[in-house]
Amino acid sequence: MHFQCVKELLLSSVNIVQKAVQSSSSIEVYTGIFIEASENELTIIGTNTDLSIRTQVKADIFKPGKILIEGKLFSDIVRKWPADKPINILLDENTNNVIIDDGNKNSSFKAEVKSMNVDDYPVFPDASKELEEGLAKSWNISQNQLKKAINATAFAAAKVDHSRLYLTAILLESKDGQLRVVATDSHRLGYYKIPGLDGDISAMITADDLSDIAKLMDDEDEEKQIHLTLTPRRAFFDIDNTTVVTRLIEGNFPPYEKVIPTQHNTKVKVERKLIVDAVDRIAVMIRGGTALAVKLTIVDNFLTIASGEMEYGNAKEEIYVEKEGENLEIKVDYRFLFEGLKAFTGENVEMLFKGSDSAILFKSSDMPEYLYLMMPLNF
Amino acid sequence: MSKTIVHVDMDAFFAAVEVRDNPELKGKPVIIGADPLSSRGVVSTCSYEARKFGVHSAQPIAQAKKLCPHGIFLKGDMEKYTLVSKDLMVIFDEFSPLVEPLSIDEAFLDMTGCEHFYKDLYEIGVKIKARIKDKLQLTASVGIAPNKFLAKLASEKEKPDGLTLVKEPLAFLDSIPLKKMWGVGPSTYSKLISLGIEDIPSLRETPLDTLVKSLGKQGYQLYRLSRGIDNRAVEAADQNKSIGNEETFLIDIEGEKIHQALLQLTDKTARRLRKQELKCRTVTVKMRLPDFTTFEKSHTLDEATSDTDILFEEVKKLAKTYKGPFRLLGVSLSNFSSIETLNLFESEEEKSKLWETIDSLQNKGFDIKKATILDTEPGKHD
Repeated sequence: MHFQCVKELLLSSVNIVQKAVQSSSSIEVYTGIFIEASENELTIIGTNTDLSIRTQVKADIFKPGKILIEGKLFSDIVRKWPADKPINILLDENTNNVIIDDGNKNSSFKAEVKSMNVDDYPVFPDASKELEEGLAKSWNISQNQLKKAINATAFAAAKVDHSRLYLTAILLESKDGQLRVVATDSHRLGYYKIPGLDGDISAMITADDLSDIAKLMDDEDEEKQIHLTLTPRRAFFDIDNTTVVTRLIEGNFPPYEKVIPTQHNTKVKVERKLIVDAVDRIAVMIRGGTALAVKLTIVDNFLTIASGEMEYGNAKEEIYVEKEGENLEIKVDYRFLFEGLKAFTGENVEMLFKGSDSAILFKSSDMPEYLYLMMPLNF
Repeated sequence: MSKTIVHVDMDAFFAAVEVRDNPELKGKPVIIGADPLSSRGVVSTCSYEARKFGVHSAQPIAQAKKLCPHGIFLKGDMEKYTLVSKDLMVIFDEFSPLVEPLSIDEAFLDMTGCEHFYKDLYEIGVKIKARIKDKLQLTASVGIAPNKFLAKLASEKEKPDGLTLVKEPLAFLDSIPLKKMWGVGPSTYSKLISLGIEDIPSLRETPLDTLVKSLGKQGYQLYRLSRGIDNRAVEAADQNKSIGNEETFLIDIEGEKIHQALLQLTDKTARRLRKQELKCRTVTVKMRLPDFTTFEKSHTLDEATSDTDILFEEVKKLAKTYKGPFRLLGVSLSNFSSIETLNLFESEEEKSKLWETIDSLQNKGFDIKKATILDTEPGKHD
């Protein structure tokens, strides 16, 4: 095998598959990046038991073939490669070593790296058989919309919870002609609706993987679509020339519809930037401390955000709000508040309260497709 | 200076509370545990009348039903026992400023320095027992000795309603069957038998080399225990600013064994954390190299937790860049907090108590571990 590729192109492809390449594993091939050269393009693959990524990139192919090379090492070499020189990669079939240089006879840099056993590399997952048998289905979804939905929900998922994996997931569920995108860590919940999608999608995918998949999506071009295929065990995302396959998470997603409040006793409408900046300032006082609590006090047309009494002092900030209903005092984790407010776009955000120990609902007429919900602290 | 350590252990606690509250049960075989018709549950406690039939705790409930078909099988009321336990701990606090609860119905009291309040050491036990009897109408067995190991053995010696003062540690130990020794389970026992060690005196005569060769670090521990030596301090639960465990390895460890050792240390420490109903935000890993260079790495989480999985993720991250070999590893948890965000879902509220459920099953004698704790494959979570 022998090919040459522009550094930037190869680097961005390697970065795409890197997420699926493990830094250490008892199964050696999972630490490798697989590269196949054919016709005039390269297929680059990273894979492990839960996630497989394949992408394609143009290159000058001199001799087709395939290699499997230690992933961390290879990506470091490519990253540090000079921008103005091509990367020339050749498999020495006698030694089974991969020779990396700039293609010049007197290349100043030359590395020889052992290729791992290509034949041990797993076959890239394929849904075509399941599609034929009717066990799998496909949909086209707007890249732009799905990216927004993922970005507005992924942060609300739990980071680690091996016993309740569904809390680390984003739920994709179609209902009433909409695709619902929902994530919750059981204390807060992000809920986004993408209109105009019929079908019977129901799948849970880790928020972590979906966030990475979202990075591959285009947020400018309204027309671009991703192709989603769901088999009983896996989700396949085709985005431009990249395919990402993730294992679906099993279990029952919590009954999210039931917890969305339908009543409130206090409603506050506030300029979003004003409150985001205020929370950010108060947070300065809290970050070093042991409690992450802020107290929100709503009296008449003022919302006061206050830190608790810390060893080194306290802080509070008062902002003007449009208020309907009762005065209220409630304590929350400032990060849940901050991250929720940041998930909105547009000028204003509404906060709906029922009481000091009930969920707070956030919504905005500037972003009607999105809801955020969070519980207060227990004291 | 010699210490005075008291171990107090309630007699057939759950069953005794039931009999106290329902005098009709008095003198009858009362068995607390799973539904006797279930095939999986076990006995959690039973009255001494039931023990005569061969019923014992951790026994499959179906077997107990066979041995004692006319026994009174009760499901038990954990809430009630917890309340009684709280009263019990208050009594302990009256006697000693340094109390280490071991479970719902037993504790170590460090009475060192309090001796002069009593006529003699024996009277300490008499007073504690009388106070429990008076306030709770329950009996306890008490052991008094210079260390925890001997005190615990002593409280078992005369059960129920017993009181044993260890004056001559070696003579006392010689009266204890080898099987009862701390750390001697069935597998260790059969190893000892194969070495020709059948009782504590013969264990004491066995050279250290022989014990270490066949039992490793445990051999060293048994060597010390057989001489009545145990330097563990009584640790008061509420005084702790941190909870930690560390282990010095007989042979410096590296590779996969590091992962396994850290997992066990985390599991053990997290269990102690949950037992005290605490959550922590700071995780610290201590590492000692073969040349005794020692260092600590710590990380403060955004959210307080007592979840072994989350804690272990942090431990792994902290230890990640160090390959070993290590002479010692330690995990400690600090920065305790009980403030947390309420749950949106009632169903999740229950599930978030998963670890507490696992702990309580383990305490009742179930050999249950979460799959992640059994997982020894390094890199699987990477």
